[in-house]
Amino acid sequence: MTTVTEHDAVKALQFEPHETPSSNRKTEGPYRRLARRFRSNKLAMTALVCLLLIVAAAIFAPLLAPYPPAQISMENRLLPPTSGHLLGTDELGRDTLSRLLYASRTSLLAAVTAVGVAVVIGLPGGLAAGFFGGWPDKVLSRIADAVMCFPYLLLAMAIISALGPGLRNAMTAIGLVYAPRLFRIVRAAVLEVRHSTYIEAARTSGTTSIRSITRHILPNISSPLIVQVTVMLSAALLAEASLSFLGFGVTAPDASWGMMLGRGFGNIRTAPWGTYWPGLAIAVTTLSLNVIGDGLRDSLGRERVRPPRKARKSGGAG
Amino acid sequence: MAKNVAEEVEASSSSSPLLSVEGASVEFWTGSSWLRVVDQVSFVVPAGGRVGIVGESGSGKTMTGLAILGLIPGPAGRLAEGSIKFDGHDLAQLPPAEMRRIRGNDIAMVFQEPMRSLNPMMSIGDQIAEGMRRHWGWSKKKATNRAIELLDRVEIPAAAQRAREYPHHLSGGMRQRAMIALALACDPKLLIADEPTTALDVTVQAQIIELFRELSDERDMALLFITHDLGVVSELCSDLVVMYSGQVVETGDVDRVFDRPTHPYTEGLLQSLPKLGAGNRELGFIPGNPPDPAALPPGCRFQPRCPHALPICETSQPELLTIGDRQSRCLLNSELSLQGVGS
Amino acid sequence: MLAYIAKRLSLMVPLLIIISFVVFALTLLIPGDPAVSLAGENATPERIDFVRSQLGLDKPLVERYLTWLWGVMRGDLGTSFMDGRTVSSGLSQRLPVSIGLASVTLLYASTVGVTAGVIAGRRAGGKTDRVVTLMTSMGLAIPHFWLGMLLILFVSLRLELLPAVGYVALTDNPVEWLKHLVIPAIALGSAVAAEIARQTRASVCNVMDQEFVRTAYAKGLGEREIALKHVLRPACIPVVTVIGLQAARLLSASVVIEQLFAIPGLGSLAYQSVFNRDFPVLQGVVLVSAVGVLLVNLMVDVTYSVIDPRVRAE
Repeated sequence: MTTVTEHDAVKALQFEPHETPSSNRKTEGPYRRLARRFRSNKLAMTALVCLLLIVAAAIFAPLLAPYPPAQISMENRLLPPTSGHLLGTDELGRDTLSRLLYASRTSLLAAVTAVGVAVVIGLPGGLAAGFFGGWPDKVLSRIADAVMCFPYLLLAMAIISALGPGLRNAMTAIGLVYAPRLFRIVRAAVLEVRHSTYIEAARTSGTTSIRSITRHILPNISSPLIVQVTVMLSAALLAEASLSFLGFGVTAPDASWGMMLGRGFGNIRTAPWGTYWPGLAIAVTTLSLNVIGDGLRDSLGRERVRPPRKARKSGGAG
Repeated sequence: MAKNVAEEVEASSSSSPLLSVEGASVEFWTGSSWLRVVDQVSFVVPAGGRVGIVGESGSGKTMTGLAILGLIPGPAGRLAEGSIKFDGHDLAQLPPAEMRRIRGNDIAMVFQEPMRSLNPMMSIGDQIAEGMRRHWGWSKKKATNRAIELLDRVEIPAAAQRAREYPHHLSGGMRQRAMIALALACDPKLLIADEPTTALDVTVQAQIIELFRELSDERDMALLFITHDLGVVSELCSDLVVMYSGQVVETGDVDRVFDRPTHPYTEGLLQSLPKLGAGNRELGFIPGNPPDPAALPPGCRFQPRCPHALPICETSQPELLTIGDRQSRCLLNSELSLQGVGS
Repeated sequence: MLAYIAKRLSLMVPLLIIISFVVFALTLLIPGDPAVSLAGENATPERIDFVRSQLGLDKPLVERYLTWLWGVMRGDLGTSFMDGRTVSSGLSQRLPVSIGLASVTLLYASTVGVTAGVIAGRRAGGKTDRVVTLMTSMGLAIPHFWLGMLLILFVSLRLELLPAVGYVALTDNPVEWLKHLVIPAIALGSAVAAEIARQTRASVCNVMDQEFVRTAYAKGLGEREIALKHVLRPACIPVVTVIGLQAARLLSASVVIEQLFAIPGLGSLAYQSVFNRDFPVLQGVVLVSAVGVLLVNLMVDVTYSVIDPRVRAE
């Protein structure tokens, strides 16, 4: 199996020198440079703020929600957005806004759980494979390749059907299925770093392997790792939504955005607004995560500068 | 304002030079301002002549070469000022379509790393034939036949077979020869070679240089040879342009400059040339590094590394002065008697 | 070329073996004893034992695995718990449907994605690039089934331009077949198109920075000629990778889409089999899809060797 994309991805994520002659920027450390470039990316900063607001809404849901999310009120079924219920009600008369806020906790936590599982499995695996090479690498890589052959949702569903229902099992399954991808990225990054000369120097000076890993390798793979985690969070969010939509994720009376979307679809002809809000919530959160991920990737890659329009000289040359 | 060689030559000779660069400056956008990497460079290449541009990496010599062909990487880079007169036109003012007609046709360029400069997915023959098909409208068959002839001329064995192969099938030296064949495709009047031998073995270097000499002689083709290696220039070129930190610091006939340089930097370069039969004499070198273009010293740019520097050199910027048929950018020009190497 | 394919096929073998392990192992994860559930309630222990030996569940694991594997290689994937039909017949009925949906989706996604990516890549850093990047971000963020729902709502229910749900076989009525697949394909394919556009753009940018493109300019070739002859071919390679990856992922995404649009393909079969705990069918679907992914990867590798002569030398 070719690893063109991972290699390219890692290459793009490595710290690279400026392609234009630089000024005093050479003295900047890599993390400060990352922070500076990220801060100057207005779009990414907006997305970051947006994400933080969503997380805050999730944390403070009990304070923000106008109604208890499980409060059933059969005479108020399927109401459109009104002054009493800002986003309307669902088929059991429960306030959509309140449910949406509480569901955000479930969905966000689920995504974090899944990525956590993936990191716990993929990171050590990738480190080991990249650093030690040889048989451990061959075996782990083959297993990762094989697992990646399965369509992730199907595999997750199969694992869930074996483990039993419930959101925790579902997200563990997702995490297991995502782990090989993280493994590959970490392994590729470790291999890149391993070949740079200062690692060789450390080896010749006799530092032990564990030391090499923590001192030299970890800081250098942190950048591709951060970007990948961001990407995975948004993928896990979508995965949870898919599973809950199908009925394999959360179980009643808990709510997640995906499940609300599923219920909303059932009533799409009579109460289409039931599909707007949860979908929008997922889309906005995923978009924020993606834009942040893009911003991180851009801040780590080559700085592509374009002169301001009026400063450009016209003419045949160039 | 420094008098440039072009005016001198025009005044004294009946034919004007093939290429005349005057006051050319190249700048790059740093994200907040324009940074100048080539500063008011002027020199001349006579028709059929061989001129060498010598300098360290970062001296701006490659950018100068790219500027002539309008290949400065944009939009962050630009030719800020100056004229590049070739065959009666100012290339800097030419519309893109006209410039395309000249590239590969009247002026061709050979780059430093042949593995990266050749398209890995096109056969050698196709790549060479492209120029002829584009500029002369030749058919694929006709162009490929000529491509094979050219490969033969650059001494690649089994040329017909090689033309069908891809760059990765060839060794480093052969790839560079193929690049030269590519550049020759449309019989250019001027060939710009940017460090063509740097990435090659020493033995192959000598062969390639010999090849350049032969080609320049038999085709009456002018050669602008960009390198950091003074030894190569002494073998191949008749005139020399020394660049430092984006500026021209010395020009003149190669033998004369070697015999008696007029700029301390040139003297330093000459001193660091290995000399055969010199016994155990240590290899001289110039300590220090060229200045950061964004943090230039207030006076002469070479002053921090110059063994002959005086206090005035720290505060005054020297102009490029013309003395006879040579030029030199040194404040202490007339006072210094610098040491050259007999050629 | 054939040697290259043969070599790639032989490399697939260890993967196939591991895949078969994983698929077989999945059934072992199932809690409970299938013999008990099949034997029915109030079954005597002898009856349960009888059923167990009938199913071959009393044999050692390795033997069970090999028997199963042997069956698979002969095309016998078992029998569905639900409707008693063989798994293979169910699969062969659904496979063409899924392939049809996947083809339309990939066609849409590749066309839109590559075009957008090339346009953005050639003017990297500029306005067009930023617009395209933003649109791809949005395309990747919108959940495909939500997009599907919105399309159903506005295109089918409100504007009544296309049918909402359902499926018509290609052989029955090609026009209706296409009409029923347009919305699902757009829903499935928009995120794919976004991913393809991303990769194409990055790839085009990357190639344009390469030295041999500079050589092409130095030869005096025109912009269009350079784009088509020098940039496009090398730029294709990562794009082919992405298309392959996305094709492999389509089956996952199609599980939800097929359920949503009532399309009788492999995706909805998978869903039903999980829902009904119909493990032979689930096993079959998972196996077929994994093999399918391997085949897609093989096709991608072969395409590489066609595009890039350096790969042929391996």
